[in-house]
Amino acid sequence: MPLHLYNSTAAFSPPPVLYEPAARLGRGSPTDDLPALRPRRFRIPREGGADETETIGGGDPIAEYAEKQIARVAARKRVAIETERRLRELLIDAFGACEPFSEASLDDLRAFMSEVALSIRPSIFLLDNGNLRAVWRNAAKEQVALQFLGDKVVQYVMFARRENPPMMMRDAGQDTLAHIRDKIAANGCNHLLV
Amino acid sequence: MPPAKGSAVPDSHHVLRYISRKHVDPDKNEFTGSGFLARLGEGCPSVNWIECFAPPIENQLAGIRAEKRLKYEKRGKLARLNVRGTREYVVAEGATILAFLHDQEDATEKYPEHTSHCVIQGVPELNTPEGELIGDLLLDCVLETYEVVPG
Repeated sequence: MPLHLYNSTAAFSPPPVLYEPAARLGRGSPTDDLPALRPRRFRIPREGGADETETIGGGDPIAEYAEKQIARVAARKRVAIETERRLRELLIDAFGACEPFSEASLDDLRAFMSEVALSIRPSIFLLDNGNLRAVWRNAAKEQVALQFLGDKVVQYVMFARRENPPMMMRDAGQDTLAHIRDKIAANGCNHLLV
Repeated sequence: MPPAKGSAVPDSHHVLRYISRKHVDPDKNEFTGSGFLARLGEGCPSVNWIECFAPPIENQLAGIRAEKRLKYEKRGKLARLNVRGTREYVVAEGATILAFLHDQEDATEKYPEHTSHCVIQGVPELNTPEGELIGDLLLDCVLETYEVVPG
């Protein structure tokens, strides 16, 4: 029987062009036909903060977005560290002086801080009743001041400048931890929580 | 002759409020308006009448420090307020009417006479939203701050 009448396994294989690795088809790399990638620029956060950064390469919108995200994350991390440092200082002071320090207030402050993306930590104070008060205040004397009463209740004092007619809006009261962000936004004070 | 107890501090005069260390954030060099509210055991917030002592301010501060009855903590602050400016600012905000009144304390075995002692009447109760609002308004009125320990 002629040999060419036998079925060969090669007859059932797909044509080489469909599965051969590109390099074996004479191409230097699978990306040879693609346009050259542009250099990317990244900011590398340094110990000192988001402002002290190093730029590598050129830039494009995606890289700039990535940079901003990296800087934002670094700033949040720094704020969290600074906040914990301040809280530890207040806690040690309170224990040393046998003064009250509310764990419930501390929990609520931490819960609030974890929900807001801050680049600067607020001023934090320990009140005589053992509650913590966080204050964001600017040079124009606008402010958001939150005393964490515990049990997810917040006592607030907010000042915000208004135009037409120019005046200072002042609002004080209590609200739940879950709604305090809405209250800050409704009073036009979001810009203070930078 | 010293002013009568309960009489008003003249409008053009100034008072000094001691802000305890808890109400001072040293990293930010800021303090909170809660520091102006009555402390535990105080009926009304206590202040010292600066003009009780002859200028300059260093001498006035020294006089107040010499007769104080509170223990000044190292990281505390002293805040200076003008009587008229503060009263009018708080009234203009529709918050409340404050009165700065002389409240001299007699000498005791432990302390000398406290001639510069005054109180601020009309500050709402501590730990209420209204009280904190007034405290933060008083913070707006601070003219100057001083270290508790002379530099």
